[in-house]
Amino acid sequence: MNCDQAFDAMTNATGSENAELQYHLEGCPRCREMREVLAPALDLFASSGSHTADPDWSTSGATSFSQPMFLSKDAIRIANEAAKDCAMESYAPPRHVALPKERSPRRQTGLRYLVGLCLIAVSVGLGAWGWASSKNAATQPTAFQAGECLWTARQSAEAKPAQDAESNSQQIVLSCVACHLKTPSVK
Amino acid sequence: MSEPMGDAELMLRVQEGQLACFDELVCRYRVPLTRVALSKTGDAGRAEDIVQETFLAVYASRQSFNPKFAFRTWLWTILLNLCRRDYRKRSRTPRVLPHTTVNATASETYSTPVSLETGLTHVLQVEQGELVAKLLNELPEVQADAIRLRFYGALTYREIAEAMKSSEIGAKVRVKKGLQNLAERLRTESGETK
Repeated sequence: MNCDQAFDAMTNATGSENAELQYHLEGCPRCREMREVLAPALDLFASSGSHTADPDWSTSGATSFSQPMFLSKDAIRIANEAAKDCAMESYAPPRHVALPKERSPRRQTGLRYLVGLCLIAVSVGLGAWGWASSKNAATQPTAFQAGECLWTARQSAEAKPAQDAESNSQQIVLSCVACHLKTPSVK
Repeated sequence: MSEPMGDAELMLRVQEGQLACFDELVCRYRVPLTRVALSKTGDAGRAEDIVQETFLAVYASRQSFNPKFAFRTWLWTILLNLCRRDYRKRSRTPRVLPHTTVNATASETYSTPVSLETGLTHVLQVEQGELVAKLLNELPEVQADAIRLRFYGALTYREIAEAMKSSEIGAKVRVKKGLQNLAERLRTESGETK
């Protein structure tokens, strides 16, 4: 479980008490701190039975839709518009990707050559880098497993030789900054 | 044992005229939709009306459903929009703080005999529910809605993002900030009472 998955589990409507999360919290001080900050709100949702309790009126037999039903034209319009939006979302590219503009065939050919050249340059560069890195393979730091808690990974990295530790620490700092950038400190 | 039918498949059958499939969808989503509507409107009668209208609108525009998008996203989007419309309609009238009972006195609510323990638990839950609804109403709407969808609707962050037209990270940030605000309010209030 990584920090992102830990937040998902922490804010799970069915309850945040699972063994995997507890294990993660034991090893990750940043997530533990986040859990402590959010604890009053999370406990409130847990104690108010947000997920399990039915609205009170349902117990008084008022839920059978026995009252006269009504449907405004406005509601149908809202439903149709929502369907259109959902359909557009499912076809549209991600918002940060701009749609390609139409270009002339001549310009397209030029662009293709340019892209081809770039790809060749990148593959040559990658090849050279691969060759150089294979020479230093024995001294390369261990890569982190996807989904592994970075904090836990650091602890295991600390057990390795000192030359690995420096590059691992740098990776951890960068990853933690990216993950916890918006985490406020506890007052 | 056969797997329960998916929402999209049920909707396709509804489009073909099998009304029983629509009942199944109503059974699946009525309670979570009502929890969210109740939390947003603060009035059980209005919440019920909005949920009814949501299902009726889904049924009336069933032919516009496309299995390429998630039924849940469509349903929650309609509910949120109907809640907003309801709020705009009633914005001139003073907003009533949420009550989780429907024009019912305690004796009406407990129409069947309950033990003291069950009754006490129930009262405590109602009080907590009212407190949550009050605090949620004081949050920015996007944060409160994201929290409602997460905790009352049990939606994933991706579904929240789709229903609220935001990114998945945006949905998480909304929930996180909302919870932080709630926690801070609760700490302040508990500090004041001491």
